[in-house]
Amino acid sequence: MKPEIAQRCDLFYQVLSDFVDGALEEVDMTYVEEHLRLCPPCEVYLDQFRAVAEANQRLQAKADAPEVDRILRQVLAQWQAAKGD
Amino acid sequence: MTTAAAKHPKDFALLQRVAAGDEAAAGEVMQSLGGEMFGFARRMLADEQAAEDALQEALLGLLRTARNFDGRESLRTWVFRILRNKIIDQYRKRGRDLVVSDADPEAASFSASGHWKNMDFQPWNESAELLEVVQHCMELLPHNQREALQLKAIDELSAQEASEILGVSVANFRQILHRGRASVRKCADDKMGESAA
Ligand SMILES: [Zn+2]
Repeated sequence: MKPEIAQRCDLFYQVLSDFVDGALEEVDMTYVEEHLRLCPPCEVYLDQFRAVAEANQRLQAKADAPEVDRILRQVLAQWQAAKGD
Repeated sequence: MTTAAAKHPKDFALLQRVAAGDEAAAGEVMQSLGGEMFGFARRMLADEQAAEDALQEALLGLLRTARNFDGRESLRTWVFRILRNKIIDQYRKRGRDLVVSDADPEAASFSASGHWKNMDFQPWNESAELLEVVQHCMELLPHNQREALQLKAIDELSAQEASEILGVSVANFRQILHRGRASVRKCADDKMGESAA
């Protein structure tokens, strides 16, 4: 519980990742929201921070299957060859 | 280690079959995790051949050491830790620098009263460019911060699992993730400002 979060940008900044991930305790959440009402710069900062977190999720696309399948077959063959020794 | 002590009995049973030389079980394990592992290796190494080598070595390591898996952690956590180490090996083999940093990008940004010294944040324009900018900025991150962001991006991988893969506490993982995101924001803000000017 950090009521100072409402007043201080540095403390607000420290809990931003947890806030964006929904990992913040509810009490702290209210202080974050209070800070946002009082502090336009932090509101912009939060938007950017959240945009980065979301872009990171969107950049994660599963690799194409063909090359992975080839590698899996190679690994299986190597493993079996070693077993036969 | 007995099955009774395993928190992940299904994973444990599957790897017991692999350890016994069961080809179908080996195929199943690799099919279920191979794509996700390759994606992670690719993003960490940004080099197709290095990523293929890391994946191949990690999978072979998985099959060969299957009997060491005790089921106390999930198979995914165990396998990603193997992969993570193979990725680091690839860095070393290729003579690439592996930079690790605990620095907070905003450490000097606040006044004694806890306010921004420079409050002049300008909203970014909605643009398709942001993804490219973020991708570029992520490539500039220290290795440990990039690992944290990339693990965070994996579907349904918890902070607990990510911290086990990295061998740090959950609180430490969350701090590395936070600093990584803040670094990318700062870098992206510079780039987004350039394009608007
Ligand atoms: Zn503020």
